[in-house]
Amino acid sequence: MSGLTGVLPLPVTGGRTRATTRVDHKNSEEAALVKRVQARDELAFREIVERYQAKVFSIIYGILRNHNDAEDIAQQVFAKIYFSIQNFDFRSSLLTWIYKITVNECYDYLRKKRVRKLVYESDFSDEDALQMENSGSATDEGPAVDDTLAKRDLILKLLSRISEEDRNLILLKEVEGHSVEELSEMTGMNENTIKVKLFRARQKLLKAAQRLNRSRSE
Amino acid sequence: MHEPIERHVEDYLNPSGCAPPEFTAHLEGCESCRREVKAMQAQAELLHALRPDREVEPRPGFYARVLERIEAQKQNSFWNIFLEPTFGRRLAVAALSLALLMGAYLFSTESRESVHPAVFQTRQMMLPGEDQVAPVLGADEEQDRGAVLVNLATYEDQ
Repeated sequence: MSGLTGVLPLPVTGGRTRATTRVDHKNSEEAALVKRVQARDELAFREIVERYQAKVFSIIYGILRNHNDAEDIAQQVFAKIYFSIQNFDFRSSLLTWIYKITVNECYDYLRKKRVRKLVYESDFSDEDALQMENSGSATDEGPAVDDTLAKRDLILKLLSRISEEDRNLILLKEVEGHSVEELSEMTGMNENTIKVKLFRARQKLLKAAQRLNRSRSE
Repeated sequence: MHEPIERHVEDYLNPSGCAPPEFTAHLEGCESCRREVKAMQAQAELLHALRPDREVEPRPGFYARVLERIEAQKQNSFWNIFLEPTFGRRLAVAALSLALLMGAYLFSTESRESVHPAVFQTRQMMLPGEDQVAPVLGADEEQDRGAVLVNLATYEDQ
């Protein structure tokens, strides 16, 4: 995750936080695996797919809640990994990099879906569109709980309004449940930097929510 | 939001962690910070809606399907090399350099040819260098006329 790592660490401000030792992502077992993939070793690529497929699937499923979409996007994620692994620079962990690709693919998918839906719905009356809206959100859960769906839609919309870096960081913290210390190891950033970035990302999300509320009430 | 909140809000929002007394003391006395921290807590709850509620595994044969997709994309990828950032940048620089070179060449030839050819050649005839051979008259009527006119205009009695 180059965007996350290209930052100067902030000075330690005291308190209970401590600066972590930087994890050397270049000399790990994972790095050796990546180097083999970079040398076009197909077995190594297979190992990466097998090691991360469940993780990638659950990230996608968490966002989209549809198994067929998850399969399609997961295939695209690994194809992207295959084609762009030459650019992986070992500044973050492989998982962080894969996470970023996966979330971006989900958002690309949602964007395309929204455009398709807009084009499609333009041929219908408002009533038809409303009916489709109500029936079109079928997921693997069957008749999903409206409240949970609404919450997910809202948070996905808000997350689309903040930067990719902020979005990934906040998802890694709140959805994946990584601690600040783990995030520091994964991204190569100082713990205080992570805290400051998370705080700012949370503030941006709040502002996005306020803007959304204002535009709805107008 | 005030400094103690900014510094310790992650500890406070972390379910297993706890914020230091300065954080809670500030929160008790500051209405705006209290409101914002509460909103952040609600937001974190909202984010938890994105946690997958069950383990999801791909169907068997996933790796084979990934390879199929890679093969399909490889076949389409000839034109994609132009979109690849590094190659695209290099291509753009090369194209720009070529355009500049051609522009400079065209400009220099244009300015050389903007002098009327007859005058240019006459000038050559009037000031022939040691290694230059004066053009032979009679080959081109237009050229000859120009040369005679220039000769007349610049004639000086020796």
